[in-house]
Amino acid sequence: MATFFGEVRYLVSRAYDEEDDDEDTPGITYNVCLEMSEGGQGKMKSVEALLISYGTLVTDFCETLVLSEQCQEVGKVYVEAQNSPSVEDTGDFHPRKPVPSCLFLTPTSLLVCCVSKDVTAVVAPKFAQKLLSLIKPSCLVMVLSSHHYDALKGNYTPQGEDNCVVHSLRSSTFPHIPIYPQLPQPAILDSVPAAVMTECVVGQRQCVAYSVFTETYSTGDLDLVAGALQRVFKGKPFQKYVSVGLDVKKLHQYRTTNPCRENLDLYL
Amino acid sequence: MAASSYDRAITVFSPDGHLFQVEYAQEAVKKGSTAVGVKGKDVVVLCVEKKSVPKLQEERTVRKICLLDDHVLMAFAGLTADARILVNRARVECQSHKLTVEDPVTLEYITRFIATLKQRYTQSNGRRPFGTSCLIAGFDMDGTPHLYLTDPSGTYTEWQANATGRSAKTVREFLEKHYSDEAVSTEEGAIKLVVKALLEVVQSGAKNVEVAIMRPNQPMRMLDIDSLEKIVGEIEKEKEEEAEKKKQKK
Repeated sequence: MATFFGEVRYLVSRAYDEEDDDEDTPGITYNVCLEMSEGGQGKMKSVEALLISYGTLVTDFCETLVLSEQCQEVGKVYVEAQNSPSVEDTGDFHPRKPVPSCLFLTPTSLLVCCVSKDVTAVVAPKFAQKLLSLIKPSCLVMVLSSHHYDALKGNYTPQGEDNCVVHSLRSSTFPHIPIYPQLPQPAILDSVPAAVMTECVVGQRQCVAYSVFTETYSTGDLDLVAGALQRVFKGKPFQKYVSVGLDVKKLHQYRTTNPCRENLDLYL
Repeated sequence: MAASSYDRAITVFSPDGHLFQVEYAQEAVKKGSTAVGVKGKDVVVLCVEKKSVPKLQEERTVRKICLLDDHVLMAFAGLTADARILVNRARVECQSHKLTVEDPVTLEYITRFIATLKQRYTQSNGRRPFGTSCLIAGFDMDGTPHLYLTDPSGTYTEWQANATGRSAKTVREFLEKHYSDEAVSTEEGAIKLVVKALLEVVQSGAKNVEVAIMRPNQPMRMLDIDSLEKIVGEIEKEKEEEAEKKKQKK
């Protein structure tokens, strides 16, 4: 058989009993690496709360309305794949480089992590452990997520008169009542939000997760959820860390500077 | 199911009977903001989620509710350009019908025209379906109100109340729970129902909502911002009272 580069390889018949045939090709493994900026590690002691955003919508929300010019980037979390297929096997000479998840520290001691879309369910537990190892056990943790395995199913019946698009899950040690009602079954969280919640429950940390469910996979409009997510920051205990006003100008500015969002104007 | 083999051409069915391009067009509809329509006793109301316009954009160029004729209203969700083409063709057809038959179109006629046009584009080579779903509302000559919904496949159905666009399912569930003939027997009741339904999914308040009202033999009118804010205020007050009652019960 000829490979992509034209060299000839001889096929081995399975009828042959070769000594080297027992080697199993190792599967892909992932490592989560943390890279802190200068002085970033020292600032972790002052962190009082951690905000994790997972999913395009909530990441847009955090980047536009939560983060400000006064925030400082303190580090990045990388996901490295090992034993991945070589260029010879894939033929891809320009493989896509995974995007790191950035860590920002606000003046109010809130650590914000905008999780990259390259952090998949496979690596989520390691990612969660790495992230939570940065902060003290007494820190509050909030997870905002808009990326889910599935939308709310058609057989989902509202718990009450309200049929809001945001739901919550909290650990037993979380002292406050979440703004939004509990996530009903059969809806589920997965990937990073689930991994963070699990780590917090196991580690007895105070954690609340707010999940935004939208009806289709093709989510993309911040307007739908911005109002809902604002309410999250108007309640305890996160109101002291973030004062979020829905500045319409900021939303427009974000749209105009982010070219991949411009196609939203095609739809009315 | 590997959709990629059967989704490149509109005229190709998949083995299990799907027309993927039509289904993808329906996904495009879900990217548009929500439009809700309610048919009352002698009123039809269309309410749409208004997208916040950039500072330098002319607001009047961004319209989700259009007049097809003096007695026919349309709201759409999906691709703006496709909707514009449909609106233009429908308007021409309305006038052509009036000139030919000397009677204004019935709602069923113009809806069928739009739906037939959409269907034609699902069965032609080199074309793609319209990525728009339309709520068509108005009154026939005899004063009967109608509300129709068309979708990219070219089907059309008549409704008492319906929604289209993003979060349409949520709004429809709300309407199924709260719609009744008594609730929409007055104009105020119909307007309140439609605004309440839209506010289930539009959390930004009165500024991002637009309401169009039509009564028989009267021109369409848009609800002014003051009246809308008053209605939204009443709705929010009612919600707070209900939440308070629930707390007390617990």
